[in-house]
Amino acid sequence: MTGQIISIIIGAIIVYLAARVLWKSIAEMKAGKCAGCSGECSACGNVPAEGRDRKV
Amino acid sequence: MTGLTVALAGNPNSGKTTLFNALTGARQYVGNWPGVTVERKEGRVKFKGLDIRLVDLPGTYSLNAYSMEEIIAKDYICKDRPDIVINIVDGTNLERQLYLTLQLLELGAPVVLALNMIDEVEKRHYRIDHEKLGEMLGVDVVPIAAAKGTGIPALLEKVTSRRNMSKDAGKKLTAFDRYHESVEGEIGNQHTEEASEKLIRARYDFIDKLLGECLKKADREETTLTDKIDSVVTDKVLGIPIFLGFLYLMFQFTFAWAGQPLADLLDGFFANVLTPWTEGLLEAMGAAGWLKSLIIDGIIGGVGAVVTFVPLIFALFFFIAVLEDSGYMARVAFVMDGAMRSIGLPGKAFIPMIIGFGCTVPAIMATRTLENDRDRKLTMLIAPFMSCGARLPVYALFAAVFFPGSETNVVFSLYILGIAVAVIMGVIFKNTLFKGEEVPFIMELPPYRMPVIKSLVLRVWDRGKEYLQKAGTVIFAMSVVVWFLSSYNLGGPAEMADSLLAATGRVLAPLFKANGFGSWEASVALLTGLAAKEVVVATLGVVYGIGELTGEAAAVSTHPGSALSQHFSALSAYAFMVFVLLYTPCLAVIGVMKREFASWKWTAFAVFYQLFVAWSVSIIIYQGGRLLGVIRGTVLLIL
Repeated sequence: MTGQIISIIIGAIIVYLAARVLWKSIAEMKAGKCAGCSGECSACGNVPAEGRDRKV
Repeated sequence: MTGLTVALAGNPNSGKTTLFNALTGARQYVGNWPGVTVERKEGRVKFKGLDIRLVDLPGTYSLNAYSMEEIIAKDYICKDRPDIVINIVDGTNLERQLYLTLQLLELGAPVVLALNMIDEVEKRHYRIDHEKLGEMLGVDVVPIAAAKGTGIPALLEKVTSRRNMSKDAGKKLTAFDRYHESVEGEIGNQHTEEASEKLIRARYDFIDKLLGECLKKADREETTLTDKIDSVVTDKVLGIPIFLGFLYLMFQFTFAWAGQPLADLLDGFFANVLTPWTEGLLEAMGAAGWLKSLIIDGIIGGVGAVVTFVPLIFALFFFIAVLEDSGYMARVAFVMDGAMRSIGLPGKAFIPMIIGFGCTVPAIMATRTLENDRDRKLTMLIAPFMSCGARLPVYALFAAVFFPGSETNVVFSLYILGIAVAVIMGVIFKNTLFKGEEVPFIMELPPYRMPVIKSLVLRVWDRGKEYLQKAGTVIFAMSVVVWFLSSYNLGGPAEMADSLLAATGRVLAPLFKANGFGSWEASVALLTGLAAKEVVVATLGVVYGIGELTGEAAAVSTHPGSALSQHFSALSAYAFMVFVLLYTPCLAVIGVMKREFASWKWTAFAVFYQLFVAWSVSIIIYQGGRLLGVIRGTVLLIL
């Protein structure tokens, strides 16, 4: 029984985190940013996705 | 604390971003090739109680407003009116760099001149009388070496003291003032072509005069190491084979020498340490079977399959960073310019394509450096065919299973195929949708520089970190989604063959029958790969990981390799890799294309045409390979 309860709690946390991350990633990708983009990556540090200005 | 806005302006590759980083402590991408900065960036620096807002403008040769960079720089200087403009000039190339300086002074901008690369100036035995130069121009001139941090405090000192001076207080009439007055008197507000030519000539005459008095070069110009190397690597005949040689070396380094051995170690850790340990922990907790499956098959199987390739990513980006920082990538653009123009393509388009080797998102954004809208659209359509780093795990997985010992050759062939398809599609577009004249491409070749270890390490770490962040975000989330869809259907828990994922895959699978990978597993991997290419590996990890576990739980590995060999042949595996190489890179690329095209119509066209090209080329490879096999078999039979 305890194992089942722990499983449900851990499962719920994983699903919540996955849903949150997916939601955020899709929003970022729609904006033309890589998934998991920190905004500081050297790949496009000079060509930020959000517009012309960029704060460092 | 009082504030001050300072703009950094200069020619491409004059070291603006290096100075920006040195001043702000930021880690903006610095490339030893022109056109790295295409937007303006901001940072802050505190100096003697002053809060300085620093704006790094894109590199421009002039302020004529022909290209996007020039428009951004000119707009900022004229409209936003910064308190000071630090005009950074490469001291080894004053003849051309001072042109922008004159334009800035003509606009009335409050300029402080940073005479950069003073160390290289000395190495070449040039003598620049910077005080005299400052006197003639009526500005402060500070010699610096931004890469080494030399002269930065003196520069900041001048910037802050320049601010405290009222504009014309006690100012003597300078040589620049006399030049400017004479130009104003002669040309005034005329906007004819003749007046513009006259103005250009007057500027160059004045620069000659300045340099005549302030610059002394060595009596005999020595042939530099850069000249010697360039005579070989930019040779018309040798240039492209040398580039291909470096590309091959890059994959040899990635697969045979550095990346793959480390990746194997990491895979061993996941398979033999992390998985059994997690299993034991879950057992001890009395966790339900579904949670064990979610964590072991879903998360460790999916994320682990991707994370094992981190060493390959580090190795690949280390090599790319060395090529860029040394100045060789600029030569690649130069060499490819000739080749591309000979078939009617814009040579400058190859710069975004080279950036595409890293990631397609900045490659699409880098098309902003192209002046011509037609060339820009064309480049955005072909740049995604360059194989980005995210596709590497897919190649590494398949090449290790189906072409052991020949991974380098296989991945090299895919990169070459990507370039070839980009060039062929470019030629097709150039002769159909984007007919028109070529815009000449002028590019400065920077001197070769020894890559700075700190910069290399930071950049490689940045890319590795980005990859791990991706693994912890979208790949983790997609692995959970794929696990869920592969473990349930509308009626509840289900065998994988009856799951929602299998049902979705079966709808798509017939489309790929002729490609040799018409299984539902391959189809869903390609579908989920639209989120990010690494998700292809994660999906296969989950799907085949579960398949393996249901057979025998002991055979756990984050590598779905053994299951792959049951579902693919070497030929269909290659056709699958070709499809991954050529189809739409990811949602982020679709997003950035939408923004840059500013049109859903063009974006949709780009996505569907890439899918069509990937599908067609993959079929040609698979069916062509089968035909060759049949011919070979027949010949052997006859013999």
